[in-house]
Amino acid sequence: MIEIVDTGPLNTIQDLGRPGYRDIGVTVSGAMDPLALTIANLLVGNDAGAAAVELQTFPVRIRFEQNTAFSVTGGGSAALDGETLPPWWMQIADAGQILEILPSKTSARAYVAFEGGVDVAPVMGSRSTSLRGAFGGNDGRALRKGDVLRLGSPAADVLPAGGFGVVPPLREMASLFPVAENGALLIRALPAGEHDLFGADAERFWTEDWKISAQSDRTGYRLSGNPIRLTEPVEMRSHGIVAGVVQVPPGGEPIVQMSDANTAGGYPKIAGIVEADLWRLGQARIGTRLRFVRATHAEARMLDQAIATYIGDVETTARQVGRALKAMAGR
Amino acid sequence: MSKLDFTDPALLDALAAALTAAGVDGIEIEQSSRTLRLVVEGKTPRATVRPHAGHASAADIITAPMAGIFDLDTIPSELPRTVRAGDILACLRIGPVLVPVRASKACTVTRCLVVADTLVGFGDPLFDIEAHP
Amino acid sequence: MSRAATSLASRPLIRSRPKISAIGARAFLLDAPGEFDLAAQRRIWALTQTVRQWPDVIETVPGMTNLLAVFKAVPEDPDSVISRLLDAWERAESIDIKGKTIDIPVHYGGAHATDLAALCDLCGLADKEVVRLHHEGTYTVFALGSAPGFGYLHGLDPRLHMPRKTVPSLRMEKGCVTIGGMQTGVAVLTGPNGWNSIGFADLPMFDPAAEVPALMAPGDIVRFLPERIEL
Repeated sequence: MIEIVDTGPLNTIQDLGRPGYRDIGVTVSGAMDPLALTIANLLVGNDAGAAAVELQTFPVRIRFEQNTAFSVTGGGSAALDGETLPPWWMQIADAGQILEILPSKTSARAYVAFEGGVDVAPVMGSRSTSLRGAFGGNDGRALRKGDVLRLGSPAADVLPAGGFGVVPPLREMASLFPVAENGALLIRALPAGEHDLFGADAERFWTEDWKISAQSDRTGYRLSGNPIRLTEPVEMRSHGIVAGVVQVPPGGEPIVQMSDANTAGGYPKIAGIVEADLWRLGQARIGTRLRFVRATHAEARMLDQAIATYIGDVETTARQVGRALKAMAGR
Repeated sequence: MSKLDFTDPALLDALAAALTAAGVDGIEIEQSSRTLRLVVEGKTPRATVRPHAGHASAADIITAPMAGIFDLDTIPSELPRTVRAGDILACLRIGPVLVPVRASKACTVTRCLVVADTLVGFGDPLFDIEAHP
Repeated sequence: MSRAATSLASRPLIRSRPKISAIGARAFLLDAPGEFDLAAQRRIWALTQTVRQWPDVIETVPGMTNLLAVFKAVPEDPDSVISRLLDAWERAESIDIKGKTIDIPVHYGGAHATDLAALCDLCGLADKEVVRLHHEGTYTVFALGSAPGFGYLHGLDPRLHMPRKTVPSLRMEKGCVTIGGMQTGVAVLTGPNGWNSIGFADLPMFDPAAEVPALMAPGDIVRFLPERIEL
């Protein structure tokens, strides 16, 4: 068990989400940075999609009730009883130790995974918290000070007593996830249904910088910049949407739907972000500038494959290194 | 550093797996009294153990806990640095995985003996230290 | 989010082939050609039944005369996906889903009917008449979406069509019986809502713990029973 000794608002239990129920209006939810959640889980020997804690407000303090392997990935700067941990790191805590996580300067969200995963009851196949639906996670609500969370049974893998980490994805795959010369995130997207109806404004959508406004949360990011507008009104019928869709309400400032995206939408949509770039957006803080880059299905495939390779390498190598370290320590 | 039994097949398997993961096909491991030479060919690791002529004192060095690429990017590495037992001094990179190199005792780390981003073998000296009394 | 069909005038939909567009690299949206009517929706249901069986499709989300198909992976050949969808649309026969009939007892008027007066002003009918037209209607669940278990109901008397609000109500209670454009429905979450409320229903629409969490399904018939009228 672990106890939430201190937490900011809107920190929740998440896994890889609850896909498959959009057709009954159920939001997918899940980690805003699914790559960081996946790696956090692999570091403690869990399945990639085990439930972990997503932190977006800080500081957070977690007390371990017994010896527990844990990992911290994504943003956030972690210390165990005052000892600073390297980023993207797994360590074994002793009973009574306190893990403190402070915000990081560059990334918005930290993921803390525990050996065995957070053991809350799955709802419709997922342990993700749906704040809007008020189900999943811990009673369908954000974590509160004093919450005690049960952990599942650890996998058989023996984790190295001295801890270990991984090279963060932005370092390992730096060339695949570029930023512009002015620091703007380059986010790849494909034109969507109403793209061409924006006329000349559609070109500006791709060439000008957008800023993530303060009206941004797990549901969606409102972007600020020079408004873009349809050349003429269009009839829209409500349709299913996925995270990453870039909609343009009448005001002309785009909205990017994120993990807690509505399941249906009726605003004209100018673009859809490729999934491989969504985790970077999930880690982008309010005020971050970004620019959209027109991509193809082939590029999206290549990026998906690169991420899958990175995840596969982490999984295989972590297991091998764990075995090797155990073999040496066992003497 | 504890004594390793290089005739143990489980250990050789584990080492071979780590080597494969690191993308290298052979390694030499030096202990104070002998050297292990491990070569991965296909699935079967081949090991030879050769005793040393003389002894080197390991008291004032930190050695590599396993084979890997010496990584100074993860941990701040300004020297000299005073550390407690268990503090992380650097990492060894095996594929995308980072294995910590920890101080075995409270000490001052005076010198780094290896160039960053080079491959080191198990037991290779990495840092000179001055132990605290 | 639906702004369905309240501003039809601007862009007539004269096309006989569906329009297929991408949302990101893994999802494709097929918009049926033609009117927003039951015939088009029946064909969407048929298309949904076909596409959901494709081994490379992980999720199908029928909307208002459209279908979103989410693929397991980014397709290697997106053009072939588009031809498959077009082909499936051509072959899709209109089907009539044998849905169940759901009777929803409604308390018309009262504290929850925050927009009944505005609707009367808009359509020029007395509140009694508005309530009668609403509960005498027979509605078809076109699709679910927007909120867990929320059914978009088709079949609203044209006299009761009322555009969504430009400024949503900040806190509309779950259970409010609402009108949005040419559709009606029952709010399933308490929160901001742009539809217009004319009454209240106590029937739970969604239970996440149930084997079938949503009460409504596409093709179901819904009737509103005037349990109480408070005007």
